[in-house]
Order: sequence, then C-alpha cells, then structure tokens
Amino acid sequence: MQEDELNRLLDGAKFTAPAPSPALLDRILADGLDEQLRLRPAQALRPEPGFWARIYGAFGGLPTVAGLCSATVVGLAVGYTDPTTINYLTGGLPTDLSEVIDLFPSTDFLATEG
Amino acid sequence: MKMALDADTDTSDEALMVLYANGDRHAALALTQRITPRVMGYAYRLLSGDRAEAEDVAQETMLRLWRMAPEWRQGEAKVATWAYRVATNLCTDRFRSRRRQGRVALEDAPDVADPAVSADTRLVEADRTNALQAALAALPDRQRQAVVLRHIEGLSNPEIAEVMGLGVEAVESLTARGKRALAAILSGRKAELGYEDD
Repeated sequence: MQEDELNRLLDGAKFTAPAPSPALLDRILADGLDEQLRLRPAQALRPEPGFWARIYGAFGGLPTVAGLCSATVVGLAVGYTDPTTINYLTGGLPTDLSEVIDLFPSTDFLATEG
Repeated sequence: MKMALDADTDTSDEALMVLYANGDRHAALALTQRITPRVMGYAYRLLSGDRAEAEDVAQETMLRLWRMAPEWRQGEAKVATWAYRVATNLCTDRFRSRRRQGRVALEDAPDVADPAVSADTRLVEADRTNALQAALAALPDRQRQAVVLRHIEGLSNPEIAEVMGLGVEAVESLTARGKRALAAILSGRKAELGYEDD
C-alpha cells in the first residue's frame, strides 16, 4: 500500500470512532460530582477562628502565652514576697564583683590611665 | 454574572481542573464533554474497536482525573496529555490481558456504519475501517499507540513523547515503523479495500 493511501485511510479513521453515549457521559459526570462532594467537606471543615482564638494567635500561640503566664506568676510572687527574704538570698554577695574577682589579670593595663 | 462552562468555552482544560477542584459543577460538565470523546476514541482504537471496553477505560480515566484534580498544578502538563497517558496504561493492561486469554484476532474489529452515505460506499468504508482496525491490532503495543496518537488523534510528536514517556526521536521511529508495518499488512488487501479503483 502506498503512503498516500495509508494516510487517507488514517485520516478517514479520525471520524469513525464512536462518540461516547449519553449514558456514559452521565456516569462520568456523576462520578465527577460525587468526587467533588468528597473534596468540598474537607475544605469546609476548617472553621474560621473565633475572637479568643485570634487573640491567642496574635500573641504568638502556646509558647508565648506560656512565657507570659510564667513571667506574670513570678512577678506576682516577687511582689508579694517580703524583701528581707530576697536580701537573705542575695545578702552574702559582694556589692562590687570587680573588686573580688579579677577575671583577666593580664589586661589590667587597659584600665590604667596615662 | 457567572457563565456556565461547557465544552465550547474558551477556558483552558487546566483552568477547568482548578475550577473543578474548587467546587465548580459546570467545570465538571465541561471537562466531561471535552476529554471523554478523545479518551474514548483513543481507547477504541487501541482495543481493536471494542466499544464496551473503550467505555470502561474512558470512565476509569475520568475517575482518576477527578481524583487528581485537587493536586493539579497548572503549567506542568496538559490535561488531555495526562488523560491519554492514563488511558494508554489502562489499554495496555487490558490488551495484554486479552492476549493472554487469546482473545485478540485480526477479525475482532466490528462493523461501523455511517447512515449518511450510500450502502455501497458504506460497505467500502466499513471494510476499510475494519481492515485498519485489524491491522492496528496486529502492531506491537508501542507502535500502535504512536501511530494512533499521531495520525488519528492528531497529537504532536512532543505531546506523544510525554504521553508515552519517551524521547521525541523514539516516537518518530515508532511512528515510522508502525506506518511501514501497517502498509505491509494492508497491501495484501488493496483490491478488497477498493484502493485500485481510486
């Protein structure tokens, strides 16, 4: 068979495949709509955050809120504690650490004038 | 105002996929009308003109398309090319299964009638269609796929390369060899197919 004859045969074949039946198209569309319904609840299940949830998020979530709460509790505790107790805890410490501890003796010349 | 989408709309297949994934029912209809006939015709060719199996392949291909839609990324592939690739794999599985069961024969092709032409012409056309279908069935899988995609479905070589997962040169080679094989198979039936009178 010559190439042009074969090409004509192939060209003719473009129009001989059967069209999908209406029933097939209906089944396929029904499948598509069913699958689409399965997709949509997954998107709808994410609710809008409420007022307190937005405030909570604005503060940075759990780590930040936990830190704030801890700082508040410590602040209240310090506020209500007798200052003598704190003096008791810190009274033994020297007031000027630089006089007692010389961390870098070889660098004393840097502190001298002239 | 929201316009209903159908097969004739200018909206691209890729955009329809996104619309479908976002819940647009009209996009489902438009994709059904656009993609199904192409997949069905292609499967019909690959499966030796078995309409029932071609319908099954078309439905399965479209089902996979629906499920793929939420992950579809615009610009990465054409929807039709993707659908052809899925259909190719499904047809290959079915064709091999039929071969294992010994169900593929050159005479498998069914009669195809077009009521708009005369009885004589219809007979000749039906003979030619059946002969081509039988000759296609006798080709190796990859040659048959390449020839059908190129010369019947009208895809470009790069598109076929994407469908088949091959390079363009390999597609050109498959198509050329497929056509030579088809010509050889059909040359013994030229007179029967009425080509000597043309």
